[in-house]
Amino acid sequence: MILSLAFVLAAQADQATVIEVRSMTPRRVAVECVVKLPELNLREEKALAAAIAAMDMGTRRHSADTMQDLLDGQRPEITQFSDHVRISLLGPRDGTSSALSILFGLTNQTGFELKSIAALEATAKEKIGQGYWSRFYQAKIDGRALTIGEIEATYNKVFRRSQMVITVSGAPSTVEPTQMWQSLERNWQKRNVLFREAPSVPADVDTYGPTTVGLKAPEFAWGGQGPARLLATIALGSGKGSALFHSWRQRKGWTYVQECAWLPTTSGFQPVFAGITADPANVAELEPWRAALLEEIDRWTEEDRTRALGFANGIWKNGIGFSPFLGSADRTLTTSPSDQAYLLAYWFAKTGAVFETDRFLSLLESTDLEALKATAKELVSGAEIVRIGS
Amino acid sequence: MILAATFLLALQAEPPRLRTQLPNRATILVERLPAADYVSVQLWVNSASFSDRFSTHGYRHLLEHFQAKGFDNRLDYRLESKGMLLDAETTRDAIKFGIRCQPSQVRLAIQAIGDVLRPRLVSKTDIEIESDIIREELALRAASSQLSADAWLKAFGESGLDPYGNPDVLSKADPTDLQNTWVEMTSPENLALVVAGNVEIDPTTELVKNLLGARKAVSSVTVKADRRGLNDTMAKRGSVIASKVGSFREPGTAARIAAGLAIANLVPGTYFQYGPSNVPGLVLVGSDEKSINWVDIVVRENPDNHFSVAKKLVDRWVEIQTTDPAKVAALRGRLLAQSPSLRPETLLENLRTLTVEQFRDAWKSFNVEVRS
Repeated sequence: MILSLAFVLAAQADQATVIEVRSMTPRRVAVECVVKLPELNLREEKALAAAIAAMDMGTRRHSADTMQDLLDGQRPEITQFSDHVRISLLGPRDGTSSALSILFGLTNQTGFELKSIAALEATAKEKIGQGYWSRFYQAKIDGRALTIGEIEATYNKVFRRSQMVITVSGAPSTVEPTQMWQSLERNWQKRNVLFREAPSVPADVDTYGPTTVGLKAPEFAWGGQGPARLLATIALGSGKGSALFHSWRQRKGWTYVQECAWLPTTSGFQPVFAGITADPANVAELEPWRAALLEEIDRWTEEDRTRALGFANGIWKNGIGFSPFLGSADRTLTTSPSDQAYLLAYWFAKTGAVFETDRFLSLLESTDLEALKATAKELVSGAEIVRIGS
Repeated sequence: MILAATFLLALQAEPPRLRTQLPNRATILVERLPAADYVSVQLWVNSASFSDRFSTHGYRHLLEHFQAKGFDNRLDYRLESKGMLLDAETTRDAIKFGIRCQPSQVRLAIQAIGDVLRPRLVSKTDIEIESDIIREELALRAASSQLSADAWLKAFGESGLDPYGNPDVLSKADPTDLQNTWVEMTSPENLALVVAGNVEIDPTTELVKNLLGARKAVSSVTVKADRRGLNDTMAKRGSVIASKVGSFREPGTAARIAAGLAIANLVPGTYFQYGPSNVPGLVLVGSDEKSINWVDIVVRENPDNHFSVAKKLVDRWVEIQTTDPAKVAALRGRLLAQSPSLRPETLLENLRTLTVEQFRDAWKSFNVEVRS
């Protein structure tokens, strides 16, 4: 849990924004970087995934082994979303300088060791289309082969200082992360990326098998209706007191796994409600999945609103997990120091505001039962139902 | 050298904890973790005497599903309304019910554990519905879980049956038999309740005493762990490689944990599994990717080159196990449920004093392939 108020150092137009968080009990330093994406076409999305696959393998500044050594056995984690790239580094408490240096190397590097383009493309395909939650984007993938020039150009287009928000959480009080980063930034180079090829074998990637039914609610920008939609999402899909659990699992017995998430999109978010089932009979028709939820909403009482608010408090104050926000293509955010630091960076990048827990929760409380039911019905009724998998 | 020194300091600065064995032989442990930002309250029900057999495969798992709902099926609802969360898990040694809460909510959490302990008489229909849900759970479980189950079955036969169960067996379970099994299983000598977090030790211990102290022994079942391996080889199936280990107290177990972490580190996206137990078990490394040839990796790589990173990974593993309240409660709870005398310090010390020779031998122990 973040115990001290985060503060943002105003950045100049061509600099990254740095948020420092002083935690009372840091054991590790978490450096999280969110890179807001410019508009990318399908081909550039694929090129970005290939560039990220190359970044995973190390940079000229730090080999993959060196990065792991400096991070006390951890590896950098880089995740591509529709609206941003997340770079996650967790290192020893005295490792702020190393972690920022690794981040600098990843985002402004003059050379990567590359696997073959084919191997990168295989990895890129996995990154774009096969994550548990990212499957719901149902992204199209450009099938034509990439060139190194395209990867370089996309890398240069994406990794720009002005689009980066960095959170440093857990650094000792004697350390000045912002100054450290600004010192590194003085050596920022423009358009000087040199990818080098090395042969490798494409990865053998399995796709996720079981059938998933998903209700994809309409996409929207965070704003006036955001808090009501978030509370409705939690009431519908978070926890064992949720409508999904009661209807799809307890009443219907269709699924053991049912959950919700807000997929980030370029314009905002898209709530998704998902249930996984092994029995083909359960997905012979999809509309009953929607109807079951609508019936459940009709049964809601003030207790359900209270539960949703309690659960929201649990997520953001008690750290029970099950946040609707994504932490990667496969999972929603946890309460790990890294995920909390990431949320700060992401929220700032997305909305221009610091994520303040109490204020955020108070926004949810303003939704009364009738508004909650109406919003939930709107989300469910307006959702596109998709079936993913066999 | 620096790593070893850091580790030693960590051990020297152990948090205060109080272990209490009640006259009825239930065990309580309260550990104060001042830096923790939440509290984990965990009930561990030792079920070594009720271990899965083909004829009762999954009864414990089914009981876990029912008891976690509480007497009125609304326990989750009540806890979630207060921002608390209940999770439950059935392992080969025990059933765990855990509640995550804030320090001010510990009393509520302990009350909820009392709710979980209360025997329920469910209906045949309830059993059929829940068996179907477990059927779904089985079908949807991760490849890692399936591969792990295969490896355990290969290594230990019936006594290594996975805890998920067989839905066809479960659907025929008798409600009264289930209830009686729960009553016997929750006889106080089988119970360990651990509270870990920023809590006051004495008043918290008193709260737990009030819950467990009045419980009376209800069976004469002798708790005796029984897990005889079919052979002494290691099991590997699919993209899993496993090393068979003895008790968590043996130095070889610590060495295999370190080797397993280092092997897993060689391939991104892999998983590592080990649950400390006083009886034989597996240290397991695997991946969802089928094409990984683990044996080839283990043979090809020189373990000496990975000892340094293994120490770092062990350091990190130990840090998590000893500072995160849920991990602390789980590590201690699962051992205390087996015997009140079991403590993880032996394992932690063995990890700290691990030598490169031990590591080398442990590495090689992952190098035997067993095909089905």
